[in-house]
Amino acid sequence: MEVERAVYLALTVGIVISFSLLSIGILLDLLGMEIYSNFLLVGTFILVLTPMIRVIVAIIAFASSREFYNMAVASIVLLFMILGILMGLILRVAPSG
Amino acid sequence: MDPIASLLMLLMGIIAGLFGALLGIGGGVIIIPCLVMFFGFGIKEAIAVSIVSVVATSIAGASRYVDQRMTNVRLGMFLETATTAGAVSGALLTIKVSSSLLYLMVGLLLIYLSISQISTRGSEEEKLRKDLFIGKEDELARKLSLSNSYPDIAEGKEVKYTVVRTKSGLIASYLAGMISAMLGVGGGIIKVPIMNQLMNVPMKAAVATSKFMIGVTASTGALLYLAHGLIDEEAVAPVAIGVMIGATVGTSVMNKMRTSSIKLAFGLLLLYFAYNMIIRGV
Repeated sequence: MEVERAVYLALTVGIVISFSLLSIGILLDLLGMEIYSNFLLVGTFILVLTPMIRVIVAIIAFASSREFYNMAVASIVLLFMILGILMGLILRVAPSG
Repeated sequence: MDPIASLLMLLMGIIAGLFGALLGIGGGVIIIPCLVMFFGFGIKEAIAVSIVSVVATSIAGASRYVDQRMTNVRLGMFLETATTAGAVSGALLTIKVSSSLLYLMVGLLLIYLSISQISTRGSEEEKLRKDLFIGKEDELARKLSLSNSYPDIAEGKEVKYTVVRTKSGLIASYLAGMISAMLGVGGGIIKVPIMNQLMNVPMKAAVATSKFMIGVTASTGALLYLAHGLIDEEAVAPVAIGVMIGATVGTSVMNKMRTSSIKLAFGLLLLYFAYNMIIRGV
C-alpha cells in the first residue's frame, strides 16, 4: 500500500474511534451514568496513541514499497518518541511542549 | 461536569481547531489562555488539556490534508527525526537553563520570521503562477524523494516544488523541537517558516505538513501527562471533540484561500507570539 494511503487510514481509524468513545462518554455523563469515565479514559488513550501508530504504519508501508531510506527515517522517529516517554517516566518530568 | 461548561469548551475547541487547520499550528495558543481565563484552570492543568487537544487537532487536520494530497508525508517524517530529538534534549535542558535569555532570543527570531512572512506574500503568489518552486534539489532530498506537488484550488492547478537546503532544514528543525519543549509551545509556529522560507516548500504544503508533524511531538508529551495522572479527561473530551470538528472544517476551507491571506494571518500570529516571548524575557 502507498504510504500516504496507509498513514491516512491509520489517522482516520484513530480519530473515528476516539471521537466516538469521547462523545459516548459525554452523553453518558449527561445521563448521569457512572461508567462514562471509562469511555473518556480509553478514548483519550487511543487519541494520544494514534500518532505513534501512524509512525509504525508508515514504517511498514515504507518497508513494503522498498523505500529503505525512508523506512530508517521513520524508525528513528519512533525511537525518539519511545526515548522521550522513557525519559519522562524515569525523570518524572512532565514536559510542556 | 456542568453541561453548559462542556458546551462552551466544545465551542472554544471548534474555534481553536479551525485556526489551527488554517495556519498549521496546534492551537494551544488559543486553548491555554481560554481555559485559564474563562474556566478557572491552573496553568499546569490547562497545558495538560491543551496538549491532548493538540494531538486531536493534528490527527483530524492531518488525516484530511493527507487525503487531499496537501501533506508531504516524507518531508514531515524526515523533519520529525530532528524535532523529536530536539524535544528530548529540550526537555532535559529545561531543568538546567534559565529561560529569560531564551525568551528574548526566540522573540527576536519570531519578529524576523513575521516580517519575512508578510513581506513575501506577493512574491509567493507570483512564484506559484510562474512555477518557480521548481529548482535543483540536493542529494538528500533526492535520496528520500522529498520533492512533491499539491493541488492548489485557489490557483486552480497542481503546484510542483523542489525541496532544497535539506541539511539546514534538519538543523533548524532540531532547534525548533528544542525550543518548543522548553517553552511549552507546539512548534507549528516555527515549523511552517522553516519549510516555507528555508526549504522552498509552498505555504499551503508547509501548513499541511506542519499539521501532520505536530501530533508526533505532542503525543509524546500527552502520554507522559497521562502516565503522571495530570490529565482531566472530563475537560479533555469536549475540547478534543471541538477541535476535531473545527480542524475538519478548517481543512476544507484552507486550500480555497489565497496564499497571501494565509501568509498575512500567519505573520500577524508570529508577531503576537514574539510579543509574548519578549514580555516573558524582560
